[in-house]
Amino acid sequence: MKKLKFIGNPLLQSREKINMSSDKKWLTLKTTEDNEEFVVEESVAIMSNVIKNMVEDGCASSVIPVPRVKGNAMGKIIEFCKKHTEESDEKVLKEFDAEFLNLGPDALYDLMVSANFLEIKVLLDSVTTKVADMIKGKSSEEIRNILKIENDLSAEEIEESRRENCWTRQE
Amino acid sequence: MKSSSCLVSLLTDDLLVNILDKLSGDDSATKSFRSVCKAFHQAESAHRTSLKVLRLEFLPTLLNNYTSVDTLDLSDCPRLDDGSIAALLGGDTSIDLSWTRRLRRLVLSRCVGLRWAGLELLLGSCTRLESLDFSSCGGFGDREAAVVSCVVGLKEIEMDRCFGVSDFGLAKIVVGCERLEKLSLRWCDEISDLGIDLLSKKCVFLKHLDISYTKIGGESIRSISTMQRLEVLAMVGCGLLDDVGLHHLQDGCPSLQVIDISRCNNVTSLGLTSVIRGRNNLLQLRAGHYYFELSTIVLNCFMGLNNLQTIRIDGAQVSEHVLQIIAGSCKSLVDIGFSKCKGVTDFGILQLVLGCFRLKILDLTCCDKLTDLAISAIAESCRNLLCLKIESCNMLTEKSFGYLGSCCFLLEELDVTDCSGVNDEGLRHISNCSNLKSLKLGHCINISDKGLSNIASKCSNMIELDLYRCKGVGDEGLAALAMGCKKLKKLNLSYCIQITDEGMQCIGYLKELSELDMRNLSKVTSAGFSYFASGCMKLAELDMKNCDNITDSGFLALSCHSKNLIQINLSYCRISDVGLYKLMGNLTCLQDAKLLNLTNVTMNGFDLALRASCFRLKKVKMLALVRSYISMETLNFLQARGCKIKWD
Repeated sequence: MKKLKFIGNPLLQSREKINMSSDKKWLTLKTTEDNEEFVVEESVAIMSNVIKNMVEDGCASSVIPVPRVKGNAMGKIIEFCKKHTEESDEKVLKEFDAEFLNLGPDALYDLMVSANFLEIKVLLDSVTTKVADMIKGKSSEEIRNILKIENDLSAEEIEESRRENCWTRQE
Repeated sequence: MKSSSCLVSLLTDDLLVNILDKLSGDDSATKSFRSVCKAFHQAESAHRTSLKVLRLEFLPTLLNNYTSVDTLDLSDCPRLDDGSIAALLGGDTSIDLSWTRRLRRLVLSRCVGLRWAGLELLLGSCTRLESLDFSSCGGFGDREAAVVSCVVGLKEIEMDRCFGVSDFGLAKIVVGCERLEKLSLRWCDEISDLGIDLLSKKCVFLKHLDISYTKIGGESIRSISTMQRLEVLAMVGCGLLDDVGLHHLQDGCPSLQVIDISRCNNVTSLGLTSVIRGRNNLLQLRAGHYYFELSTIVLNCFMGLNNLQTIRIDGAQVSEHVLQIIAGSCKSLVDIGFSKCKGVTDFGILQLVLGCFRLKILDLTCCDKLTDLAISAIAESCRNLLCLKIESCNMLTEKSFGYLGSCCFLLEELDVTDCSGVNDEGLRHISNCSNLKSLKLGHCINISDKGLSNIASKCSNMIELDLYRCKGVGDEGLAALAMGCKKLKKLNLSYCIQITDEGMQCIGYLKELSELDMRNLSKVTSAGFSYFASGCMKLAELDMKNCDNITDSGFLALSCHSKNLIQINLSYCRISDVGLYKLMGNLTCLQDAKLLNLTNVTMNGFDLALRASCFRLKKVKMLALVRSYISMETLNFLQARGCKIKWD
C-alpha cells in the first residue's frame, strides 16, 4: 500500500479536492529508497535547485523520483521549504529555524546530506551554521561527544596537532 | 541505527568545507575541529588559507601540512631578524621549502628586527608573492626598498610609517614593480613630489594610492592626475596641499571613485570644488575635519554626484538647504558623516532621511541641537540602519531610544557616549535591538546595573561595550554581562569605581575577552584579579593604570595565565621588582609596555625586567629619571632590536 502524504491542509482527504484548486501547480515527489510519496506545491518544491531544473527542462512528469533521500528527511525538508516560501518576516523565520533544527546529530547529518544533494541553499546554510555553532567554543573531546564521532587519530597525530596549535595565534 | 563512523563518512568534503567556512575567523574552533578525527583533520588542513605564527621554529612543517596557505603573517614573531630567517631558509637542504612558492601575501608589519639581508633571503624564495605589507618597520630604508623592488610580481605594497624610505627607494620600487595596483605610503615623510612624479609615470596599473600624512604638494597632484586607472586616492592630513595644488585634479583621473581629503588644513571649499566637479562616478567622498563653508558652487557640484554612496564632511558648516540638496541629488547614499557639523537641525535630518532611506551608517556626533523628533524620523525611514552615532546629543530623551528599539532591528553599532538622556529606561528600549554588536555608553552617569542587565539579557551578540566613567555600574551589572554577552571581546570599565573583586571574578567568565580597559578600579584586589586572569585566556590588551590595590600575587597570576598578552599598561600600579620581572619574563607575546611611575620597582628591577623581555619588546614607555639607571648594554641591545623607548 503506497503511503500518500499531504503537505498542506490536513483536512483535505482526497486528490480530487486538490485538483480543484487549479491555479496552483502541484507536484508529487517520490523517495525511491522507501517509496514514500509527497504532494507539494510547485512553488515550494522549486526551492530545490535540482527539482527546479527538472521542472524548467520539462522533465517533471506526474511523479518525480528522488533517490538517496529517506522519507522522514523528505518530510522535514518539505516542511522547511513550505515555511520559507510562505513567511517573509525575518524574525519569525529565525525562530522557526531555531526550533526546527533542534535535532540530534544523526538527523542533522541526514538533513545536511539531503539538502546538499537537492541543492537547497537556504536549508544547507541553516544546518551547517547550526553544526558550526555546536562546534564553537568546545574542545575536540566535547565535539566528538556532541556529534557522535569516533576518534581515529593516532597518539602521534594528536601530539603533533597540539604542538602546531602552540605555534599559531591562540585566538 | 547507523554507527557513528559511518555517519561521518556521509559528510563529504564539500560539506566539511561548508562547515569550516562558517567557522572561519574563529581560530580556537578550527583548532578543536582539527583534532576531532582524521577526516576533519584533513579537511581543515586543506581549508586554511591564512596563517599567523608566534614562532618561526617549525614553520616549514606547519606549512607543509597546510597545503592551501597562501597568506603568512609574521608580525607577531618576537625574534624575527636576519639570523632567524637565515636559519629558517638557509641551512638544511632536506627541509622542503616548496611552501615559499605558494605564498601570495606576506605580512611583515612591525618586524623591527629585520633588515635587508634577511629580507632579501625571504623575498628571494617567495617568487610568486603578490602582496607585501612591511608597514611600521622603522629600520627599513632605501636598501630594503631596493630588495622589495626585485619582486616583480608585486601588486600590493603597504609601507606606512617606513620613515627611512626616500624618493630613491620609492623610485627603485616603482621601476621594479611595474604591475603595482595598490600602494600605501602613509606617514612616509621622506617622499616628495619627485618620487610621486616617477610613480605616476611608471605604475600605469595603479588603482589605489594612499599618500596621507606625507609632505607632498601641488606638483604631486599634477602628476597623479595623469593616472588613468586610479580609483582610490587618499590624501588625509597633507598639510602642504592647497587649493591651487588640488586644482590640477579637476580634469584628471577619469576612473576616480573614492577620494579622501580629510584634515588638509590648507584646503578650502574652492579646493573641494576642483575635486568633485563633474565627477558623477564618484562613490565615496571623505572631506572631514576642517572648518569650511559649503559655498553655492560646492552645492552645485553635489547635485551632480548622483551615484555617491558615502559622504563624510565632519566639522563642516551645513544648513537645512545643504541637507535638502544632498537628499535630493544623492539618492544612493548609504553612509553619511556629519560629526561635529554646525547647523544640523531636526528639519534638516527629516529631509535627509526621507530622501536617503537606504542609509546604513549615520554619524551625528555632537549634533547637539537634535531632539527626539530627528531620531523618530531616522527610525521610521531608515529601517536598514546598521550604525548610528549620536555622541553628546544631549537633548535626546528615552523616547528616542524607544523609537530605535521598535524600528531599527538590524542596528549593530550604537554610540551614545555622553548623552545625558540615556538612563535605565532608555537601555531597556535599546535592548530590543538584539543584533547590537557595539555599544558605547561612555560618560552615561544615569545608568545603573538594572539597565545593563536588560542589555545583557537580550543582546547576546555584543562584541564591544564601552562603560567609561559609568559610575552607576557595579558588580551586579558585570554578573549579568558574564551571563548574557558571552561573545564580548572588548570591554572598557575605566573609572567604574563601584566594581569590586566580585565583579572582577565575573569578568573571568567572558572567555572571548581580548581587550580590557580597567583604569582606576581601586576596589579590586589581587584575589578578584587573579580569578579574572585565569579565566580570560585570550586577553591581548590590558590597561590597568592606577589599580593601586593589586599586589604581586595578582601580577603573578597574570604572568601565569595571560600568555596571549601583547600590550600592557602598568603605570601607577604597586608592582614590585619580582612581580615586574616575572611578568616581563613570562609573557612571551608582550610587545608594548607602559611602565610609568612604578614606585615599588627599584632601578635594578627595571633593568632586569627589560633584559628578560628584550628580544620581544617593540615599544616601551618609562619615566625619564629611570634612564640613567638602566645599563648601556640593555639600552643598546634594545635599540639594535628596533625597540622604541619613550622617556616621559
